[in-house]
Amino acid sequence: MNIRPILYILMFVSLLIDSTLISFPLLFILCLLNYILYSDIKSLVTGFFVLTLLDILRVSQIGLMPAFFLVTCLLLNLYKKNFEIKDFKMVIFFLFVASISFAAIFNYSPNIFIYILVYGVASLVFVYFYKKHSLW
Amino acid sequence: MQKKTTIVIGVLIFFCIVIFFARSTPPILFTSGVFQNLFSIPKSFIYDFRGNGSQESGQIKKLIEENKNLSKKLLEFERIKKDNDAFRSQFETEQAKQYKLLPAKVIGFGGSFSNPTTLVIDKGTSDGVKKDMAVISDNNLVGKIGEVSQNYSQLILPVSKKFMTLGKTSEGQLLGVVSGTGDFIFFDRVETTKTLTNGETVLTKGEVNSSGAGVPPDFVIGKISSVNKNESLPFQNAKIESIIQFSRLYTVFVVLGL
Repeated sequence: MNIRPILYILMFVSLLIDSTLISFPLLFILCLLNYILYSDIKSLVTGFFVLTLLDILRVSQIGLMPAFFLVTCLLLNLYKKNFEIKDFKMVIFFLFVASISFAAIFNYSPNIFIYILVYGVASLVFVYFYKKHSLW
Repeated sequence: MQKKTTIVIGVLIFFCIVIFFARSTPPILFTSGVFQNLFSIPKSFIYDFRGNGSQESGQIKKLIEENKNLSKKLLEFERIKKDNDAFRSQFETEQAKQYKLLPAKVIGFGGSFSNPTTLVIDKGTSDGVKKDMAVISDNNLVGKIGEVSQNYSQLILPVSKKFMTLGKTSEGQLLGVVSGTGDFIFFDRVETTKTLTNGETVLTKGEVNSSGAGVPPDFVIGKISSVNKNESLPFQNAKIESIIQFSRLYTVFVVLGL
């Protein structure tokens, strides 16, 4: 099942609602998820461009968000050498840690309970799709 | 394949560093201006929709309005009182100064949803906005301009850790430093010899930087909600509660000239 077009639509929507309607690093999570699922150059370049755009719209220093995203991808690559990253539990945990760090650095909501709730729900969704082998 | 992606990551990180250091150059400014113009209307619409979706009850709204009007009247009373004292002493007179104001729409925020620490407004360098300019709403200080780009600016609210200005109390004229802690507004460095009282209004003292931008005097920052005084220490401090709800602001005014 190719969820890439869905991810792109969600990225565009989150670009509009990030810091307008919600204080949650949704776009960063989607970019990272795109890279975790596909691990190709296209996902890196997409993440670079949309996060640069987010920097421009949030009036933060341009270049910092995409740099954080790319460093996270680099760490992911290093981790993949030794461990299996496509285990959905590791995916959830990695996204959780990365998004909390991103939120702390780039002035998003510091309420950790929101993240626990969101990732709790995401885990249930992942379990459902994993059992159905719909993701990979 | 993994080696190839690592090389691409390295190249893109290099681009990020170049963009970061070249962010004030014309090509980057032009590009960011174009995108900000493009997203300005949808962001403004979505931000307005966010406020309209959660209406306060009529009663609470009425009370907030009444509170704002009473604060205004109190300030006016203090100004007239000062004028009277000045006429008697024949030294000076206080006049309500007219400032050049630029209206701006709030189109985004940073920090938590209910207690933001920064706001994004739809005016930038192309409209004459500069860093450290004050932003007001009625007779209240909303904050100071932080980062400025072509068409958008970041507004640092008093609760933000990046915020700092000089303040004074409305009655006793006690001077102090107003700063943000992330959760609340702090009034620090006030002499212990004088008395701060709960409910007292804290106003801006007024300050101007070398480029002419700054905070005008006598704008309301908030009211003192709790005082921390220790006679053995040289200074006392207090917690300030803002009169305005920053998450409910949609139009603000940038003070262009002092």
